[in-house]
Amino acid sequence: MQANNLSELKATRQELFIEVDSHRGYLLRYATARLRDGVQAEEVVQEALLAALAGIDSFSGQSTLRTWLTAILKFKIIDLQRNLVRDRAHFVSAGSGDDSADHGWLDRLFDDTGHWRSQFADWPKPDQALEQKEFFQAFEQCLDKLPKAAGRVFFKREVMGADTDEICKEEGISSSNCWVMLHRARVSLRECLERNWFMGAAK
Amino acid sequence: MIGDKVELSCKEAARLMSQRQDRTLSETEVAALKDHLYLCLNCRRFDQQLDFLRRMAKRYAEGPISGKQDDAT
Repeated sequence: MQANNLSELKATRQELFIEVDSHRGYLLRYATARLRDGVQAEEVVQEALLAALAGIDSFSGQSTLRTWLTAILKFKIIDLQRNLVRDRAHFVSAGSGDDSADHGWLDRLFDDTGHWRSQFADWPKPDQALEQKEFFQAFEQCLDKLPKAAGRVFFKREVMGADTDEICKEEGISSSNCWVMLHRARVSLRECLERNWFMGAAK
Repeated sequence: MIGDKVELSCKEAARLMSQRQDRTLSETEVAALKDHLYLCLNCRRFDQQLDFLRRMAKRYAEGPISGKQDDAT
Protein backbone atom coordinates (compact mmCIF):
# COMPACT_ATOMS: atom_id res chain seq x y z
CA MET A 1 0.00 0.00 0.00
CA GLN A 2 3.00 2.21 0.09
CA ALA A 3 3.33 2.60 -3.65
CA ASN A 4 1.02 5.60 -3.55
CA ASN A 5 3.12 7.12 -0.88
CA LEU A 6 6.14 6.67 -3.04
CA SER A 7 4.63 8.52 -5.98
CA GLU A 8 3.78 11.28 -3.59
CA LEU A 9 7.31 11.05 -2.41
CA LYS A 10 8.62 11.50 -5.87
CA ALA A 11 6.56 14.65 -6.32
CA THR A 12 9.64 16.74 -6.55
CA ARG A 13 13.30 15.93 -6.47
CA GLN A 14 13.67 18.31 -3.58
CA GLU A 15 11.06 16.54 -1.41
CA LEU A 16 12.55 13.19 -2.22
CA PHE A 17 15.95 14.41 -1.19
CA ILE A 18 14.63 15.70 2.11
CA GLU A 19 12.79 12.45 2.83
CA VAL A 20 15.85 10.31 2.12
CA ASP A 21 18.14 12.65 3.99
CA SER A 22 15.95 12.51 7.10
CA HIS A 23 17.34 9.02 7.70
CA ARG A 24 20.93 10.22 7.70
CA GLY A 25 21.20 10.32 11.52
CA TYR A 26 20.04 6.73 11.83
CA LEU A 27 22.30 5.50 9.05
CA LEU A 28 25.26 7.32 10.53
CA ARG A 29 24.76 5.58 13.85
CA TYR A 30 24.40 2.28 12.07
CA ALA A 31 27.61 2.80 10.11
CA THR A 32 29.50 4.03 13.15
CA ALA A 33 28.47 0.93 15.11
CA ARG A 34 29.86 -1.20 12.34
CA LEU A 35 32.99 0.72 11.41
CA ARG A 36 33.90 2.42 14.71
CA ASP A 37 35.19 5.35 12.73
CA GLY A 38 33.20 8.52 12.40
CA VAL A 39 34.89 9.74 9.24
CA GLN A 40 34.55 6.45 7.40
CA ALA A 41 30.95 6.26 8.56
CA GLU A 42 30.19 9.71 7.11
CA GLU A 43 31.72 8.72 3.81
CA VAL A 44 29.92 5.45 3.51
CA VAL A 45 26.56 7.00 4.44
CA GLN A 46 27.06 9.70 1.85
CA GLU A 47 27.74 7.06 -0.76
CA ALA A 48 24.72 5.05 0.28
CA LEU A 49 22.42 8.08 0.15
CA LEU A 50 23.66 9.03 -3.30
CA ALA A 51 23.19 5.46 -4.49
CA ALA A 52 19.71 5.43 -3.01
CA LEU A 53 18.70 8.64 -4.75
CA ALA A 54 20.07 7.35 -8.03
CA GLY A 55 18.22 4.07 -7.66
CA ILE A 56 15.03 5.29 -6.00
CA ASP A 57 12.92 3.74 -8.76
CA SER A 58 13.87 0.32 -7.51
CA PHE A 59 12.37 1.05 -4.10
CA SER A 60 9.29 -1.12 -4.17
CA GLY A 61 7.64 0.21 -1.04
CA GLN A 62 7.35 -3.29 0.39
CA SER A 63 9.55 -2.33 3.29
CA THR A 64 9.92 1.02 4.94
CA LEU A 65 12.26 3.50 3.33
CA ARG A 66 14.63 3.14 6.28
CA THR A 67 14.87 -0.63 5.85
CA TRP A 68 15.64 -0.18 2.18
CA LEU A 69 18.28 2.47 2.85
CA THR A 70 19.84 0.25 5.50
CA ALA A 71 20.18 -2.58 3.01
CA ILE A 72 22.05 -0.28 0.63
CA LEU A 73 24.24 0.94 3.44
CA LYS A 74 25.13 -2.64 4.42
CA PHE A 75 26.52 -3.27 0.94
CA LYS A 76 28.52 -0.07 1.03
CA ILE A 77 29.96 -1.01 4.42
CA ILE A 78 30.96 -4.46 3.19
CA ASP A 79 32.64 -2.86 0.16
CA LEU A 80 34.53 -0.46 2.34
CA GLN A 81 35.65 -3.16 4.78
CA ARG A 82 36.86 -5.29 1.92
CA ASN A 83 38.89 -2.36 0.59
CA LEU A 84 40.29 -1.62 4.02
CA VAL A 85 41.48 -5.16 4.46
CA ARG A 86 43.05 -5.11 1.06
CA ASP A 87 44.73 -1.73 1.52
CA ARG A 88 46.08 -2.07 4.99
CA ALA A 89 45.96 -5.76 5.67
CA HIS A 90 45.34 -5.06 9.31
CA PHE A 91 42.44 -4.13 11.54
CA VAL A 92 42.46 -2.10 14.68
CA SER A 93 41.04 -4.31 17.40
CA ALA A 94 38.69 -3.17 20.13
CA GLY A 95 41.04 -3.51 23.09
CA SER A 96 41.07 0.07 24.32
CA GLY A 97 37.89 1.88 25.17
CA ASP A 98 36.71 -1.08 27.21
CA ASP A 99 34.59 0.53 29.87
CA SER A 100 33.13 -2.60 31.39
CA ALA A 101 35.60 -2.69 34.28
CA ASP A 102 34.03 0.35 35.86
CA HIS A 103 31.33 -0.77 38.26
CA GLY A 104 30.58 2.64 39.73
CA TRP A 105 27.40 2.85 37.72
CA LEU A 106 25.97 -0.15 39.60
CA ASP A 107 26.71 1.42 42.96
CA ARG A 108 24.81 4.50 41.94
CA LEU A 109 21.77 2.33 41.26
CA PHE A 110 21.84 -0.10 44.17
CA ASP A 111 22.65 0.24 47.86
CA ASP A 112 24.95 -2.13 49.77
CA THR A 113 22.17 -4.67 50.27
CA GLY A 114 21.43 -4.78 46.53
CA HIS A 115 18.18 -2.82 46.71
CA TRP A 116 17.27 -0.12 44.21
CA ARG A 117 18.15 3.29 45.55
CA SER A 118 15.11 4.85 43.94
CA GLN A 119 11.58 3.77 43.10
CA PHE A 120 10.52 3.75 39.46
CA ALA A 121 7.38 5.40 38.27
CA ASP A 122 5.08 3.84 35.71
CA TRP A 123 5.76 5.43 32.34
CA PRO A 124 2.70 7.13 30.98
CA LYS A 125 1.59 5.74 27.59
CA PRO A 126 4.87 4.26 26.41
CA ASP A 127 3.35 2.94 23.18
CA GLN A 128 2.26 6.38 22.11
CA ALA A 129 5.86 7.48 22.35
CA LEU A 130 6.75 4.94 19.66
CA GLU A 131 4.57 6.88 17.24
CA GLN A 132 6.34 10.15 17.79
CA LYS A 133 9.30 11.42 15.84
CA GLU A 134 10.36 13.59 18.77
CA PHE A 135 10.60 10.54 21.00
CA PHE A 136 13.16 8.97 18.70
CA GLN A 137 15.14 12.19 18.68
CA ALA A 138 15.23 11.96 22.48
CA PHE A 139 16.33 8.33 22.14
CA GLU A 140 19.15 9.27 19.77
CA GLN A 141 20.38 11.87 22.24
CA CYS A 142 20.35 9.28 25.02
CA LEU A 143 22.15 6.79 22.81
CA ASP A 144 24.87 9.32 22.02
CA LYS A 145 25.44 9.91 25.74
CA LEU A 146 26.39 6.29 26.41
CA PRO A 147 30.04 5.28 26.64
CA LYS A 148 31.09 4.63 23.03
CA ALA A 149 31.53 0.88 23.30
CA ALA A 150 28.29 0.40 25.24
CA GLY A 151 26.36 2.44 22.69
CA ARG A 152 27.85 0.45 19.84
CA VAL A 153 27.08 -2.89 21.47
CA PHE A 154 23.51 -1.85 22.28
CA PHE A 155 22.98 -0.66 18.72
CA LYS A 156 24.25 -3.93 17.29
CA ARG A 157 22.23 -6.06 19.69
CA GLU A 158 18.90 -4.26 19.78
CA VAL A 159 18.72 -2.15 16.64
CA MET A 160 20.55 -4.41 14.22
CA GLY A 161 19.37 -7.55 16.02
CA ALA A 162 22.79 -9.22 16.00
CA ASP A 163 23.29 -12.07 18.44
CA THR A 164 25.67 -11.75 21.35
CA ASP A 165 28.23 -14.24 20.01
CA GLU A 166 28.56 -12.29 16.81
CA ILE A 167 28.99 -9.04 18.70
CA CYS A 168 31.59 -10.51 21.06
CA LYS A 169 33.63 -11.71 18.13
CA GLU A 170 33.49 -8.36 16.36
CA GLU A 171 34.31 -6.41 19.49
CA GLY A 172 36.93 -8.85 20.70
CA ILE A 173 35.34 -9.21 24.15
CA SER A 174 34.04 -12.09 26.27
CA SER A 175 30.32 -12.94 26.54
CA SER A 176 30.16 -11.86 30.15
CA ASN A 177 31.80 -8.60 29.23
CA CYS A 178 29.25 -8.15 26.50
CA TRP A 179 26.35 -8.79 28.89
CA VAL A 180 27.69 -6.25 31.33
CA MET A 181 27.95 -3.65 28.59
CA LEU A 182 24.44 -4.36 27.39
CA HIS A 183 23.07 -4.22 30.90
CA ARG A 184 24.79 -0.93 31.47
CA ALA A 185 23.48 0.49 28.21
CA ARG A 186 19.91 -0.57 28.98
CA VAL A 187 20.02 0.82 32.50
CA SER A 188 21.41 4.13 31.27
CA LEU A 189 18.94 4.42 28.42
CA ARG A 190 16.07 3.62 30.73
CA GLU A 191 17.16 6.36 33.07
CA CYS A 192 17.82 8.87 30.32
CA LEU A 193 14.47 8.31 28.58
CA GLU A 194 12.66 8.56 31.86
CA ARG A 195 14.30 11.85 32.65
CA ASN A 196 14.15 13.39 29.21
CA TRP A 197 10.89 12.05 27.93
CA PHE A 198 8.51 10.25 30.21
CA MET A 199 8.88 12.47 33.24
CA GLY A 200 9.85 15.53 31.28
CA ALA A 201 7.75 18.02 29.42
CA ALA A 202 6.94 15.77 26.49
CA LYS A 203 3.99 13.43 26.41
CA MET B 1 12.82 -18.32 49.72
CA ILE B 2 12.23 -21.79 51.16
CA GLY B 3 14.67 -24.69 51.25
CA ASP B 4 17.13 -24.78 48.39
CA LYS B 5 15.65 -21.86 46.51
CA VAL B 6 17.86 -18.92 45.76
CA GLU B 7 16.82 -15.52 46.94
CA LEU B 8 17.86 -12.71 44.65
CA SER B 9 18.62 -9.12 45.45
CA CYS B 10 17.21 -6.46 43.10
CA LYS B 11 20.71 -5.96 41.79
CA GLU B 12 20.99 -9.63 40.81
CA ALA B 13 17.45 -9.72 39.49
CA ALA B 14 18.13 -6.70 37.26
CA ARG B 15 21.22 -8.40 35.88
CA LEU B 16 19.21 -11.52 35.06
CA MET B 17 16.36 -9.53 33.49
CA SER B 18 18.87 -7.90 31.21
CA GLN B 19 20.66 -11.16 30.39
CA ARG B 20 17.36 -12.87 29.70
CA GLN B 21 17.33 -10.77 26.53
CA ASP B 22 20.73 -12.07 25.49
CA ARG B 23 21.00 -15.67 26.63
CA THR B 24 18.85 -18.53 27.89
CA LEU B 25 18.69 -18.49 31.66
CA SER B 26 19.11 -21.71 33.64
CA GLU B 27 16.07 -23.24 35.33
CA THR B 28 17.32 -22.11 38.73
CA GLU B 29 17.75 -18.58 37.45
CA VAL B 30 14.29 -18.55 35.89
CA ALA B 31 12.68 -19.79 39.10
CA ALA B 32 14.56 -17.36 41.31
CA LEU B 33 13.73 -14.45 39.03
CA LYS B 34 10.07 -15.41 38.92
CA ASP B 35 9.89 -15.46 42.71
CA HIS B 36 11.61 -12.13 42.95
CA LEU B 37 9.39 -10.45 40.38
CA TYR B 38 6.31 -11.74 42.13
CA LEU B 39 7.30 -9.83 45.24
CA CYS B 40 9.03 -6.76 43.85
CA LEU B 41 7.05 -4.03 42.09
CA ASN B 42 10.11 -1.95 41.27
CA CYS B 43 11.73 -4.86 39.45
CA ARG B 44 8.51 -5.59 37.56
CA ARG B 45 8.54 -2.02 36.31
CA PHE B 46 12.18 -2.33 35.36
CA ASP B 47 11.35 -5.49 33.44
CA GLN B 48 8.50 -3.82 31.55
CA GLN B 49 10.76 -0.93 30.70
CA LEU B 50 13.47 -3.27 29.39
CA ASP B 51 10.83 -4.84 27.23
CA PHE B 52 9.85 -1.42 26.01
CA LEU B 53 13.49 -0.62 25.11
CA ARG B 54 13.55 -3.68 22.93
CA ARG B 55 10.37 -2.75 21.08
CA MET B 56 11.64 0.78 20.73
CA ALA B 57 14.91 -0.34 19.14
CA LYS B 58 13.05 -2.51 16.64
CA ARG B 59 10.77 0.34 15.73
CA TYR B 60 13.77 2.63 15.40
CA ALA B 61 15.35 0.22 12.92
CA GLU B 62 12.21 0.22 10.79
CA GLY B 63 11.97 3.98 10.78
CA PRO B 64 8.80 5.91 10.19
CA ILE B 65 6.27 4.48 7.76
CA SER B 66 6.70 6.66 4.68
CA GLY B 67 3.74 8.83 3.91
CA LYS B 68 2.03 8.18 7.22
CA GLN B 69 2.76 11.54 8.74
CA ASP B 70 2.07 11.73 12.40
CA ASP B 71 1.16 15.28 13.10
CA ALA B 72 1.57 14.80 16.79
CA THR B 73 3.15 17.98 18.01
